[in-house]
Amino acid sequence: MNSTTHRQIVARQQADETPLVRYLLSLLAMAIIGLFLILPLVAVLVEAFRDGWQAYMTAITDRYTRHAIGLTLFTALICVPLNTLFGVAAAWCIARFDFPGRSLLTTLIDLPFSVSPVIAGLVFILIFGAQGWFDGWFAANGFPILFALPGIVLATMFVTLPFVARELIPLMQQQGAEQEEAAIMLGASPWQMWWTITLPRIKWGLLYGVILCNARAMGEFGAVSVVSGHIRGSTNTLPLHVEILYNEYQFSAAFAVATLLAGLAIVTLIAKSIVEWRQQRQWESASS
Amino acid sequence: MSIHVNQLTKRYGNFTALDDISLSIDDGELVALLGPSGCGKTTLLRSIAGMEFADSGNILLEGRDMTFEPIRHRQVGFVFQHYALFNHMSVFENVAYGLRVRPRAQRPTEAAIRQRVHELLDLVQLEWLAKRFPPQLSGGQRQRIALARALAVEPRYLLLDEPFGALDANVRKELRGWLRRLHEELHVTSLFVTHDQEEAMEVASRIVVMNHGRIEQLGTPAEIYDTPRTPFVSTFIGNVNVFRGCVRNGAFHSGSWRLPLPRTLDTLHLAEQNAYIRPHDIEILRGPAADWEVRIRHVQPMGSRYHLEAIPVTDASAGPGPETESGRIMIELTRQAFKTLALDVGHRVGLRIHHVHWFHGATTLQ
Amino acid sequence: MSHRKTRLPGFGLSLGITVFTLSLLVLIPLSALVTQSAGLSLGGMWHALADRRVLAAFRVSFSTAFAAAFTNVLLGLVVAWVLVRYPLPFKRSLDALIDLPFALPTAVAGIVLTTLYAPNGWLGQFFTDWGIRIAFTPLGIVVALIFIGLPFVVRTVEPVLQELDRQQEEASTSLGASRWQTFHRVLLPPLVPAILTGFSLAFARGLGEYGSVIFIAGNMPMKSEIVPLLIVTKLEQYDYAGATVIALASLVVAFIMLLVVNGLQHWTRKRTGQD
Repeated sequence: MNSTTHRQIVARQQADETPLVRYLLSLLAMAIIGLFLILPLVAVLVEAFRDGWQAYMTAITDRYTRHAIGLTLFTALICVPLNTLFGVAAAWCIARFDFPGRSLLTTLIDLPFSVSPVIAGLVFILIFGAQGWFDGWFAANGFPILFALPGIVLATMFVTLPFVARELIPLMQQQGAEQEEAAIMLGASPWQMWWTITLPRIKWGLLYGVILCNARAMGEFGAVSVVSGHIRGSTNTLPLHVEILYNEYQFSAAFAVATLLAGLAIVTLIAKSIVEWRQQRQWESASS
Repeated sequence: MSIHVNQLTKRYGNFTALDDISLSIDDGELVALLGPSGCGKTTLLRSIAGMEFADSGNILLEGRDMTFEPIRHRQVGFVFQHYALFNHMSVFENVAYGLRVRPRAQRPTEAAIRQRVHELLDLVQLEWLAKRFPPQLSGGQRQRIALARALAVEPRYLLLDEPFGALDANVRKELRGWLRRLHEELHVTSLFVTHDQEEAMEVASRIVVMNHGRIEQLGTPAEIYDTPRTPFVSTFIGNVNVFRGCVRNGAFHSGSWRLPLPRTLDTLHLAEQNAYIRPHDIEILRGPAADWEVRIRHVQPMGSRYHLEAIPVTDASAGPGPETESGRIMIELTRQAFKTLALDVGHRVGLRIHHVHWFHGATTLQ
Repeated sequence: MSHRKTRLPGFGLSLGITVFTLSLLVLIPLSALVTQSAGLSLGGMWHALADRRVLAAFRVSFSTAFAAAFTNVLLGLVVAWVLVRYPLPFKRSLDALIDLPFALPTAVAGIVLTTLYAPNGWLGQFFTDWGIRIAFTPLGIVVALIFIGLPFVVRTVEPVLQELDRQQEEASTSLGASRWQTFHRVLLPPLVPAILTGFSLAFARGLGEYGSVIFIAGNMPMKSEIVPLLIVTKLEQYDYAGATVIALASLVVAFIMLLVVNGLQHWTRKRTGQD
């Protein structure tokens, strides 16, 4: 070993913590992760099967559970594509053009994140509720918004609005406009530019935003709880169904349904990691 | 395929990027837009390409007003400083892109596209890279692919934004000569932006020198170098000694030094007048008959030429020496002259000035 | 140069979609909050806010959110440090797991934390032996908010920690500093803005959090009732005006807090020359 590298290693070792400190810190971090993240996941599973496999199956195939699953999927099916469209449009105009009010727009996009979900639900009650702007006009005319699907969709869209845009704006700003300009210079139409250049470059970031948006859309509780009215078999999403079962002291049924949502969370985390990894690879190959 | 720019003006807030620019480029020319960063050269190039709107003025391509024409009607090939290659496509697909995105009726057949792409890759001597992806290429290779891609659509105009700006010095040098030969072969009207005067001198048939959004001078490399029209041009292109001083009684005075003026200038009386003298317009003499006297402080052999730095020698009785910007005088000699004179650091020698650039009018009083 | 004005297509369309959606979903609904409370007199608003139960709810929300965010800074720093610097088994999976609180629906978090920390629960029973009750007290709220807020600090500190130049530490050591001196003089200062960001994100989230808290809080008025729950309660009593005033007040207060933290962050960035 030549002496300079040896010296570097010694210097690095001296710049590190003592083995004991490293060991204790690692242990502490593992304890935090174990206590706060892993233990709750294990607890959901154990509690779900407390009354046995049979009870578990009964709980998750129950008529109301099936309806809640359907409603949750349907809500996500409407909200996620709409918010994806919004996110792409917002990212395009904010990351590619300079115009007065641009930073205001960026702030407004982030606003739903800093508003309590309860308040997100409340504002729609103020608009469509009995004492609201429309004074129940929609409901009186056979198209109820509150305590019905449209209200759930509106509240969910509000809380999930920023996800895609927030992911895409910094990504597209960092990528710059040159490749799109090059495509236009070479004669591409706007659609051709979008499909052949923009989309392939942002696809992982877009997917990342969509995954997060979907997880929140399916799992949102506070905002939906305020506008849904908790009508079982009608306006009850999965998270609301968990709450009702729990409040009725049907604990293992509540946890059984909760395993579905916990499963969604795990799938989300795995998908997120895969996308992160692919994005990193794309980024590395682009910058090498 | 001429380009005419008429009174183009462009502002970003308080900053004037282009200030009443007018410019004509003839068919088949290879013109450099030269200037320091922020001088507006890239904005001008992008305006011609159609990627930017000017606030006023217009752009004529081949006599037709194109100011508001969409980009795709301009038939402009554009090469970006950072190549802007599509990283997710192979080299082949990058070059084929411009042909593939044509409306179906005008799109060549697959075989024709294949042939055209291979012709172009052949032209830039990179056919063996067709299946690679841009991130796997070197900077110089990427820039040549970018050029092939721009040429694929058979543009009438080729616009290049700092084409060699991101490359290593030796690759730059190689690509410069290559670009000039390519232009001789293709004869596409070409305009390229650069901040490197050497690059502009070496490649372009004409140079547009820009500063603060204005055109300082337009001319052949020789004209720009030999007869700079403004102090900016003379200092930006090539090395120059600037002597601060004033004009009195038919002579230029800088400190205790005096230089007789040419007859065209001898009636002038200017409180401030700078003399611009190129390092190679100064001859070193041993003995008398010199204009000025200096002591050599530093000798730098530069291959075929020698760069010398000297400081003025002044007698206490004669008062302070001349005022130059660095306090030193740069002199450039051929190897031959240097050897003949047998010069060394510390020698006291005389200077004879062969040529001075004078700038009169408002521009001189900077 | 990414914000040059270009002639890329789609500006009108994309701006149109963005402004339309934002107006419909965010601007109009939030302005409803303002116009509805404008119907009240200032005295009426004051009356609604000065209520003892309302004030108590604000006190509970703020103190628990603050305590949780502060705890998160400590826990988050340790976790981020270990994840970035030390070799760990299953490091990638553990790192991915950090985002669980973002991905797990809050209602699930709420019921499982309650089960864990209830007096007879998995963990709660040990605390009961010591005479400490966690679930159904403000302490339970703090536990739920720690869970919800943990990723914020870890995720804001991690990238900064990764970017830190090891040579600076080596330089500090070579100049004779102890490891602890190196940490708090060389390593900590550049981390401060990220820590503040993580803190403010966790704090803001804590103020508004509903789903994970209501199960574990016990929701006793004056003691463990949080502001979002009070809003829901008012709504269920059809006291829309009351709910609106409390919502508006909490929005304003949260906004001011964020402004203060942003200012503080700006100040530290400037001071440490990271601006």
